Amino acid sequence: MVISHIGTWFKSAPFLVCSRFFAAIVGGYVFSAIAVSLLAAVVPLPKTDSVLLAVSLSILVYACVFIWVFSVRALRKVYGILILLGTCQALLLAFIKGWL
Amino acid sequence: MIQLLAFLFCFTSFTGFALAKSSHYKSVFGVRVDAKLSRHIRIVSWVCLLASALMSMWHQFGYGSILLCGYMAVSVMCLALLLSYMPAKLRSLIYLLPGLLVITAVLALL
Amino acid sequence: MKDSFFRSMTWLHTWTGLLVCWLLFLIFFAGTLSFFRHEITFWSQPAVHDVAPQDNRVLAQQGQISAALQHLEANAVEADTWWVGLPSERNHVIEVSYKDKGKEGERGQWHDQYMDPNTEETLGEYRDSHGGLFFYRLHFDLHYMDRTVARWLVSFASLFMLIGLISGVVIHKRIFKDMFQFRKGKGVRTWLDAHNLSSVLALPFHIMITYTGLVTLIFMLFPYPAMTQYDEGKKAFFADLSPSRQHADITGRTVEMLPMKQLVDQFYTDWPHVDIKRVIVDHPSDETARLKFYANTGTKIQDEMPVWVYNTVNGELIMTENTDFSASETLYDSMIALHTGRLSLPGLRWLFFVCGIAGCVMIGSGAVMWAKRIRERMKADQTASFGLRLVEGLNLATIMGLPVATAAFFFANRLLPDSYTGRAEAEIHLFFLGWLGVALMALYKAGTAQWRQLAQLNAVLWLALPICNALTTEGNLVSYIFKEQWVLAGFDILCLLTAAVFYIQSRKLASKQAAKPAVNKALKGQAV
Repeated sequence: MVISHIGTWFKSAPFLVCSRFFAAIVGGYVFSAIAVSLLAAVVPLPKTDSVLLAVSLSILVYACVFIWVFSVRALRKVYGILILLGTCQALLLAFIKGWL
Repeated sequence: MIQLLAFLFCFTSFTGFALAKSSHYKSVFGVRVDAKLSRHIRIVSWVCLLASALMSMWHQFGYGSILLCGYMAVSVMCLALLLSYMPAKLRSLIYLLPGLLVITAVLALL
Repeated sequence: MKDSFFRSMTWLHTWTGLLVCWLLFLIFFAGTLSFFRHEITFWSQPAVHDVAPQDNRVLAQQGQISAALQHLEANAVEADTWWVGLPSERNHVIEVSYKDKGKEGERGQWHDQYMDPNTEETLGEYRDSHGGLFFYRLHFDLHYMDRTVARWLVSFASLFMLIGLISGVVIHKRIFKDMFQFRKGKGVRTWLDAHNLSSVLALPFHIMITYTGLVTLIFMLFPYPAMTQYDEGKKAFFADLSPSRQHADITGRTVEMLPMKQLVDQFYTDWPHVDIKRVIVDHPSDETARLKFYANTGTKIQDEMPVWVYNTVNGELIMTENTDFSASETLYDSMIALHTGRLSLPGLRWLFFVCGIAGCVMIGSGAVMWAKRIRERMKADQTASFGLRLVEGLNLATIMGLPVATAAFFFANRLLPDSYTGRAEAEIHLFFLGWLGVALMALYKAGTAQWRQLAQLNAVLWLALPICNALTTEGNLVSYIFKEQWVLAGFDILCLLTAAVFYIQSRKLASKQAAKPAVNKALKGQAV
């Protein structure tokens, strides 16, 4: 009974809303942090320029991810894509930087 | 002076955009605007806006484009207030505007 | 799918907006005042009101720099830094400051003095007041709290503002179509029109100011590109980006510097006709001593000033910086420049100010509209929920409270005695006390009557401010106009305008209050 109780709680509106906000705020932040770091690493510019370009665009990336999280209906899809793409980018970044 | 002229052109242009809409035209002149007139007004408005943009960006492109945004904001604000509180006054203003434009243009040229 | 996107955006707009609207209102309010930061500071120092601006500012600079540096040479040999701010279009006096060598592990204290640009003599005691700097700091550091926490809070609110703007454009699809629409006297619809109008007329400004505002704090928010590109992290990045900002630690070995006048003259033979904004000497008399000239960028969209760095021992030019930007640097730097608006001449400054006010109206009307909508949907016998009353209370407290607090701050500047210890802090405490008073009243009850009372209070306060100014200083509105002191005259006129707006508001609210019982009676009559 307890388990089914928890199960319904996971589907309740407050939890879904909080979860979506978590995905947007924290997930979006981590995702854009990785994305702009990768951007800085791949653009063929001097180091300072690539960093400045990346940080200037970072808010744009974050805002777009934020809006996207709220526009997709299935929450599972949101988490799936965020984690998958984020990991891919992180791996690529690590590969470029030679951390692996 | 040239900046005042730029603002006046911007204001004229947005007055035109407002009058091209039937509801606002009706509140000012009391009759409906016909489609042809509306289109003409809109064309003139775009020309005015272009003139305003050219004038404000004449000296400095960057600075001028920020100024233009400001002019547009103030124009829209004034128009919205005029349209809702004293549409009749706007009517006399419409007849005054071309005169004002000419006077300012002459002063700017001198 | 399209419908669900629209609905989710509406939901997002409403709730992100409501969550941060009061903090955002504070940020916008303080930021809007900060566009006139130097003017407010000027107003709060009556001692310099009568210092005459110069006819030929740039020509006089060479002598002024020499005089200021010689003053420091004579009076602050042991300092860590010398700092000279030249008069500009917005500031008439020469600022001559120096920073002590701090004790172990502590930062040195700044000592500020001011010089008359015409006579090149130091001016008397300055009033201990933060002036416009308070609003500037309040805008992103808030107050009574840790700076880093405050900046994260402000960034969070700004992010939600950006989200609100984007989702707002999506949901009010028709805003560009009904751009000029303002239906007065129609309850919630009027508030909706005010909300739409104030956002759409300054939409480029709102988006620009929010985005660039986040960019000003970007190295706190997103340090990761710098951290991944440089093995030593952010510090290495800044060292690479702007070497002139890096100063070596004091070694303690003193050297004989060339006379300051000679160095200044040399600069002017190399670079005549440069409009200089400030001159800094790092570590005077130390072997790491550097003399830096910063040029005024004027109306260029550029925030970082071009700088020339000289060796003070042999007068050698070590480096120049910020004279030539790459594309990325231009992108980043112009965003900062747009946000701070330092480039603006008075005309553009007023436009920025009007757009800032539009931002305040947008946030305020959005918040009020939320509460009005809920009220409208309520049945006659229903009592308001706690949440609704909280929102209404906070709306009243922020929208009407901040003007009261600001007036209190300005009154404090004029009425607190100069000898009062901790005067500058006391002014700020009074700001927050004024606000607290209004907030307590608002949270107790926030109906039409309270709105009207606070509007009346505001009208009286803002009307009294120019009068108080006339009684406590030498000048008044009439003398300002005759002497062509437009900054001070503008301040007074703005106060009077504010008072007029609040007066009109109180009249409107009074007529609404009078209408309400009549409607209620009519309804009751029908029921019977």
